[in-house]
Amino acid sequence: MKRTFLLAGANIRKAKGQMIILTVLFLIAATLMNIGFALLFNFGNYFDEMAKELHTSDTLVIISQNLWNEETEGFLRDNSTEFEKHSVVLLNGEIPWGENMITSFFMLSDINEARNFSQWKLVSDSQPLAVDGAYIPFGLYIHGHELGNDFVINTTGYGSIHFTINGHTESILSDGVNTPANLFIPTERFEEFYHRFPEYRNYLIFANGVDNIRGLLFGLDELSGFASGFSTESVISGISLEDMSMFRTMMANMTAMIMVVFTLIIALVSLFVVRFRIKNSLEEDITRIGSLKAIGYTSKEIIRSVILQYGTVIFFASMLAIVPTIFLLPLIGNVLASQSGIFWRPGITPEFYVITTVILVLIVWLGTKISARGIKKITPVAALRGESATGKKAKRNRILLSKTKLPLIPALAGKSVFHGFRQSLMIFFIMLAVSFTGMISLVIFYNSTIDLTAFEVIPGGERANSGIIFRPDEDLSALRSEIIAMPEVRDAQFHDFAQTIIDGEFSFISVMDDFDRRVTRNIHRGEFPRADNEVALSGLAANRFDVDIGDEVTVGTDESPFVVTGIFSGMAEDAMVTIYGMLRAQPEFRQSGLNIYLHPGTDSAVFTENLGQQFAAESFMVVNIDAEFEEGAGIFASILSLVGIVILCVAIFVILLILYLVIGATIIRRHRELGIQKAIGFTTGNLMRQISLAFSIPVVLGTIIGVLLGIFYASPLLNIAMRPMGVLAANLLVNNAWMVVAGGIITVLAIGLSLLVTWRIRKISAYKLVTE
Amino acid sequence: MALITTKKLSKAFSIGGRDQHVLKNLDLEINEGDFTVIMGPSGAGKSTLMYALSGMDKPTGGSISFLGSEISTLSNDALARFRRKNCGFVFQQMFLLDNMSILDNILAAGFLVSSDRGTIIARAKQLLESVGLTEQEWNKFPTQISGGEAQRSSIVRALINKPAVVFADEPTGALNSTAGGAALDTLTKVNNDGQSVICVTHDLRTARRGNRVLYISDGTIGGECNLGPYVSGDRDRHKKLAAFLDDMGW
Repeated sequence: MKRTFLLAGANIRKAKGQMIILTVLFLIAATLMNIGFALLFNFGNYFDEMAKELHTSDTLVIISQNLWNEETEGFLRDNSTEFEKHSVVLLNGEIPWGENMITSFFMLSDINEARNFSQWKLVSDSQPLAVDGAYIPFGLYIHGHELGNDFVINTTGYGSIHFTINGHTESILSDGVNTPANLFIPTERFEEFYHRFPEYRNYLIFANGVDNIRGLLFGLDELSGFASGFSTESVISGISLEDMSMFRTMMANMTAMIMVVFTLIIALVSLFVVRFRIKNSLEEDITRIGSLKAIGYTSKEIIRSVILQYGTVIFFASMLAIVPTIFLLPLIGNVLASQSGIFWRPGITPEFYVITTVILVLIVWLGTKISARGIKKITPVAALRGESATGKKAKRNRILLSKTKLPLIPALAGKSVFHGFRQSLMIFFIMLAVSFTGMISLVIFYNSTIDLTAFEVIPGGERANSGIIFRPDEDLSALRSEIIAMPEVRDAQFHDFAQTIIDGEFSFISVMDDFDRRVTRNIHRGEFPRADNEVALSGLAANRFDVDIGDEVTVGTDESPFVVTGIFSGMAEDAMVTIYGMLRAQPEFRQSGLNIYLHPGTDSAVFTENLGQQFAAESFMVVNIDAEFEEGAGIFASILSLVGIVILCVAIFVILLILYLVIGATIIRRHRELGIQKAIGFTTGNLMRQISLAFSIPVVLGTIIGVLLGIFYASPLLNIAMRPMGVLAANLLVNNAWMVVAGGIITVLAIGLSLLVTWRIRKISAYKLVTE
Repeated sequence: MALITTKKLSKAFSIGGRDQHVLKNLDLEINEGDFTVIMGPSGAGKSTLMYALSGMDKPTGGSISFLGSEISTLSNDALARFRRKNCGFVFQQMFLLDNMSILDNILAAGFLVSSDRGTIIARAKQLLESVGLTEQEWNKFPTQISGGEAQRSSIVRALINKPAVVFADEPTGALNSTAGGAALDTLTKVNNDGQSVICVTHDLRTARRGNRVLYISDGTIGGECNLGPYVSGDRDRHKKLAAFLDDMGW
């Protein structure tokens, strides 16, 4: 065994440069794999463990106190095993959010009210709660609300409410992600607000044992005579722990999947490179192998030394990868925190380091074992004569110089391509795989950073510029006319969300007067509903109800069926019906929301502010939808943008590393051939062009096909990945010019690098060839 | 007419930090049309001299004039261009390119110099035929033919560009007697046609083919022997060469 170690050590020392490149390559792969695993398994676990630690209930319900009565309480009791009820003040108002102001809901809770379920805890630094202090969710910290800052909520109609931030909290169901942000304030101040805003008193209910959250919410709504709406005076809303978990870990899981897939591509590519490197070194070292065999080394010992050589490098790289993993994971956690609201402390995860190391070492062990088996077959004498260990088959003489019209250097390059066909094929596939991956990441980057058009459609929400929710009993028609008459306004459409029941299942429904005037044309198949007996369903809902276009479903309390006219893409709602259909399905329904579409160039922030002032008496809230989109989608966009650009850069770096390794190894292997060519009069420039050209052929072909696959299949592939989320047609934009330019950059960098590496040909001496 | 003239030619190698002088202020003149043989004991500097004369290596001192042009000061790439035009090489190990057929090995050298491909192809075929290689062999790879055939192919490669001189380094060293004889016959034949040949050898049989034998010893020309034009079976020639080498202490 000692001899094997000595031999492996000698092998590593002999190919120091190549071993360093391999180490860097596997360092990248191991780091990405560590991060991918940590995100995939640890992030979700962290969330689940935190939910357990905080005794999180499986359901959260928010209901206005004026809708709460014995009946609703009985209904809740009948439909859950246990529940806990807390009084909160539910406000809506604007707060600074990054560079914009967004409108959101906030629940004020008494700090001293004990919770058995769905507890919360302080994270990071905190201060004792001051008289005007508040503990706010950690998610708000990510968006600029730091310890000691003034936290101001500009409420609609009640002026500004100020708090001093004394700490940040972490909880599962009321962190401001998908539910109102829960602020904890001193008892005296809570009571002040509780008495000041009686209409905003709500119950925050944590329940366990709820079978169907949708059914529960619908039941409560039905008991309240479908009086719920957007107003904090009439809220019936809720979420299950399962849905919350999916939403808050979705981005991390998506990022993890992208990273793991990308890592596997790198690992596979690295396997090819290791195999190539081993085959090359067997050819270079064949006489040395002959000598070793002649002096008594067995084939097994020699093969073991090769395995040990590469195994050591991979093991070393995997161990080194722990450092960047520990350094990068918290940074990635911070990026994800903007969407998840989770203050994730990944710490050290030795189990993933071990798994990564084992996977990579196994891959290399397998590759080495397969590649080094030629050593067994060759006899010492044959090896000493320099016969190939890997076995050479007679090859056809391609591109006959006597027949070809090609100039000499390209013809010789072409010959090299055919002669080393397997190597050329390997480079072709590496370039194809890595450039295709690069193109996918470019599509992600482009759509999340440059042109957000597709991102506007993906969630399926209507993309107006501004919105207003009117108070009940207002003359909506007159108000709409008044708004439409404003010079900045291009159009205004009533658009409401409601909870109803479709085919016996509680569903979220989008209601408009005229869907044909929708800006977000997310209908995937068929048409938007027009008549009062028509409904369009989301892809997920259609699957759930097992219906398609032309089939019938029941909506609300109306027994006559609705015809499914279309299937739409998106995550926002389950169904779309016209106001006429909705009134048939649920006669108590009243419109309240108006989407406002502004003329291009209008500042929606200014417009929305003016709108709020002008209609302060009639409106319950105004929303700057542009800002909401920018900040809401912006979170997803910035995460995806980062993932995209990191993968693109890593892909290009990996291409360059691999080419450096392969070309360098090729020059060493062909150093005799290059020496001969130099002897008969080829200049360094001739040979550089010849080698670079020989590499450029598979590089260019691989990149072209990778780019073409990117142009035609990156978007559909990402589409498939988004289907489980209900996105039937992501229609991510593929900017052909960007793809071609990126492909061009990859090609130019690859060719530039090949010229740079081939520059070492100048050191090959014809004289040394004949004298050594 | 002088083909190559050297003045105070010297070459030193640094071995373990110490300079070892292999060629020492060597003055030499080689004439056009000669079959010059360079002999000498191992390590005397035979190959070093030949590769310095052919521009394969640069001297550390002195000058080398090739057909009146100084080559010792040329850059590596200029030397490569000089070699492709003026020199043909025949090596002991043949050094044919394994990834090319015999014909392509020859054409690769030919196309490097001439753009008249038709003429080069015709000349390559004619030369291959003249050394006894049939069309069947032309499209084989070097590993698929015998050592003798490979050496004759490398002679054709050396001749394809009608070089001013063919340099041969132990051309029969790796060949059996019959194959070696055939290779020498080829070299003799081209020399008889006017081709200058400079050959480094240990082999008496090879040395006999030269009309001028230089004996190099300890980095200098120890002596020379003029044998006149080669005539097959000339016993006096053999005796004269043997006596010369005896004198040189070979």
